Amino acid sequence: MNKILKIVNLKKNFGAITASNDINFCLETGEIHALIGPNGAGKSTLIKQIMGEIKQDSGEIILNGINISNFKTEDRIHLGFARSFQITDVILDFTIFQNVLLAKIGKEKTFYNFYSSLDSIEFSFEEIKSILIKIDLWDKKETAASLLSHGERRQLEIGIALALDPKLILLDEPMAGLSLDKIEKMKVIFNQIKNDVPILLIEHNMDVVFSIADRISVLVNGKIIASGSSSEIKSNLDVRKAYLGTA
Amino acid sequence: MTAELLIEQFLNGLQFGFMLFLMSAGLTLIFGVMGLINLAHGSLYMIGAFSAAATFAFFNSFWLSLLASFSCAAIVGIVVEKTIIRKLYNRDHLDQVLVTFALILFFSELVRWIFGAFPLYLDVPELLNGSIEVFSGIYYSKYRLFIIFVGLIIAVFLFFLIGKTNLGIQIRAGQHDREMISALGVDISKLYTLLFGIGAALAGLAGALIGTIQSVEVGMGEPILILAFVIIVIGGIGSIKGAFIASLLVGLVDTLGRFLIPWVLQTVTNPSDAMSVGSAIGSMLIYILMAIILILKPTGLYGKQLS
Amino acid sequence: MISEKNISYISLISIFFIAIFSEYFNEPYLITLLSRIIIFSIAAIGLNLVLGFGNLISFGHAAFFGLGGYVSGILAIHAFNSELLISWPFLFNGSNNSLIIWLFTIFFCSLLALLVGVFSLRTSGVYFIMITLAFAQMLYYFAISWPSYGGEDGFSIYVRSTFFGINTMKGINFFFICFFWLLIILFITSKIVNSPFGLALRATRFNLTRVRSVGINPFRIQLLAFVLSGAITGIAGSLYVDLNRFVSPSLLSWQMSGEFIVFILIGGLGRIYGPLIGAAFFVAFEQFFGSYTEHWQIFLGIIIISTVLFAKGGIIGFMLKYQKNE
Repeated sequence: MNKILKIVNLKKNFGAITASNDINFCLETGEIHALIGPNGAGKSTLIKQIMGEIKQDSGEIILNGINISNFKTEDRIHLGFARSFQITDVILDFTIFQNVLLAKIGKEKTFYNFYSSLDSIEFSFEEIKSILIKIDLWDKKETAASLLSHGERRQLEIGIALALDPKLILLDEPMAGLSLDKIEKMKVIFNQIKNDVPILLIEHNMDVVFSIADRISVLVNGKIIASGSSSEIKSNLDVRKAYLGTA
Repeated sequence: MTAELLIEQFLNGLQFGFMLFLMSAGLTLIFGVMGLINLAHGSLYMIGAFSAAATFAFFNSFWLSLLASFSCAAIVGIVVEKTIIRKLYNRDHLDQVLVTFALILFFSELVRWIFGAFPLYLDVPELLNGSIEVFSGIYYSKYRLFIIFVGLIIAVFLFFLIGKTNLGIQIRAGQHDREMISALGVDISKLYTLLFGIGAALAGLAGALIGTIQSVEVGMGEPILILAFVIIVIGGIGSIKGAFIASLLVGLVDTLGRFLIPWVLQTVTNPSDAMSVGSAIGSMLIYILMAIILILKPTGLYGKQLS
Repeated sequence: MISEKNISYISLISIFFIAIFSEYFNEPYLITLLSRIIIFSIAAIGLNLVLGFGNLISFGHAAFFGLGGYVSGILAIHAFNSELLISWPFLFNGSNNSLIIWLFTIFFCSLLALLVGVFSLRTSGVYFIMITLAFAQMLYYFAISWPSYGGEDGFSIYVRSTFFGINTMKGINFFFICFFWLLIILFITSKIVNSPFGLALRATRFNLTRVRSVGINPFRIQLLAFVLSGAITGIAGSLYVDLNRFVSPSLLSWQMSGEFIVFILIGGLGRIYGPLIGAAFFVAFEQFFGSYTEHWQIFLGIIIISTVLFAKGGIIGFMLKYQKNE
């Protein structure tokens, strides 16, 4: 197992409040690593530090052996962070295919090419096809994004993230607002993607977390109190106490 | 060059600035509250001037023709708002530009049809004829002083209207949040019509006042319309205060620039070159001013910052 | 089968053959009209690149049209009078050669578009509309008050520029040159629109955040499109001056900018051939109603208002919809 993302002794205080208290954490190849914790535990502060939107007080963030602790958000994205936002943000007037193609064009830096036809550029078709198959939208590739359901837009978001050829994907509550069968579908998609790109999953739906996460880290009061497989976490007394309020 | 000349040009600039304010106040309110780019505002200015000229031809009364100018412009404005403009509030800028551009073609040609292609003239009334001593030894046209006076009164009136009255509260609320004012139980469509009518009346009045100094002819509205746009962009769209300051700024910069730049250039080159280069630069000056302000502040002096 | 492609090809072919027949039946006026249609459509195609595909509402494209016209006119008049145009770093008398004139036009119009674009693209929405207008007005007033080249009255250039020994003073020959340019411009724009750059440009009109988040700098995309657009509209200005053998500040007027937008709208926004259809309709309309009344613009105004309010999509959009309903 290769450690893609490593967080070492991360600390962040807002005045008297400790948002991140000496966090150690890693994301490995091929895994879905879920980060859970009650509201106010410091999840979003941690994510913002990982993305470089706020700066840690001390500690290190390491991506593939490179210390990126002081990198700007754009540079982190450039190095391979992909993030799917809670608010879906696809180009509604484009088809699914075009949305993914645009991301590919951005990734391959071919956006100054104004002489080649879109149909003929080498990288596009096969790669985009495999992405669309992964996110289960290949059949609808010519459909305008505006006509998609909420869940399908989520899928497309993930497709766009994949087209950027990321080192890791950060999914921020991807299941919010989805119906049960959509959730099942998403689970299948995530299980497929994780073999190419490890996923850091922030999710409130515990059924989802326990069924697809390979590892789970529990954040309480800015501190990771437990880390392990679903069964380990389920049986961990500290977690039950902090998270469920019962021992 | 003498001090008298400079003061006269300064007053001319001020007078021009106040007229520009009459045009731009309506324009900026209409944009700020309804979100509408109204290119046809210049046509309302022209309609005001022609109504005044026609009234003057019949009754030979300057005061009656002033009354005609803003009432006719207001009526035309309200009719156009109720029939066409209100369909544009929810359209994008492009549609607004096109429709109001088409309105210019329509009104210009219609007025040319009715009044012919020759310019008409309005006479200054006896009361305002001649000059008056403004400072010791410095005389200035009574009529132009009258224009400054009218502009000042209307500025005070508008600031009072926006700042102190119930209507003003609705207007300010409308600039911030259109949903809000309908939630407050205000009849938006009436408010919009009223506002458009006020804007039209001010433009029509400006047309008659300026038409008396210059001539009344088809196409008179467009140069001043573009200046008014420059002003609301400099001042920040939707801001009456911005429009006021920018109007005076543009009026002064334009008038003094055309006058001073050739004069300054004369000191370094021969008079005929100085005249041609100077007037070329002078005429571009306000556009250069606008470009600089937008580069420094992309939403104008008092505009809301884009998120 | 009515499709956008077919409408486009049919209109191209009919313009070509109407010109041939006009020559055969000795109707030089008609040929001039057709050349005008083509030149106007080239100008509007240039604008359509940024307006139709990038949603950048430039209300100042007359600046490029006029600059193209003035550059061509100035080169030609100096060549005609054998008057020195520049004396440093080398002596240059202007030129009567179309190729040289076009090169200069493209160079200066691109440069102007780069300058206008760098400043204007910092703003958006109504501010963008107004700042592009302001730049065009700047040039307009400069042209009016600059006496060397005719000031308000403009100037005549007497003969058209030469192109490989073809007699360009003969209407049909000049028409062929314009037609050839139209084909080139149509080819280039359809290439651009269907390229990766074109997709990125189309994306900027909807969602700048998304464009940025996939690592594309929207400003640079828009700027490049603006420069291409300015150069194309400049070429149209150059041809227009050659057609009329006359240069005047009205080339730079804001009504001109407005008319370019109208051509695009009448034809169909964001369609490669839209400006061609729109310009053809506009010129035909002007000729037809102009022969009945000099106040034909009243009807033009009514038509534009009805098109915007009731028939979005323009002529091409209307034809496509009509077919669907059948």
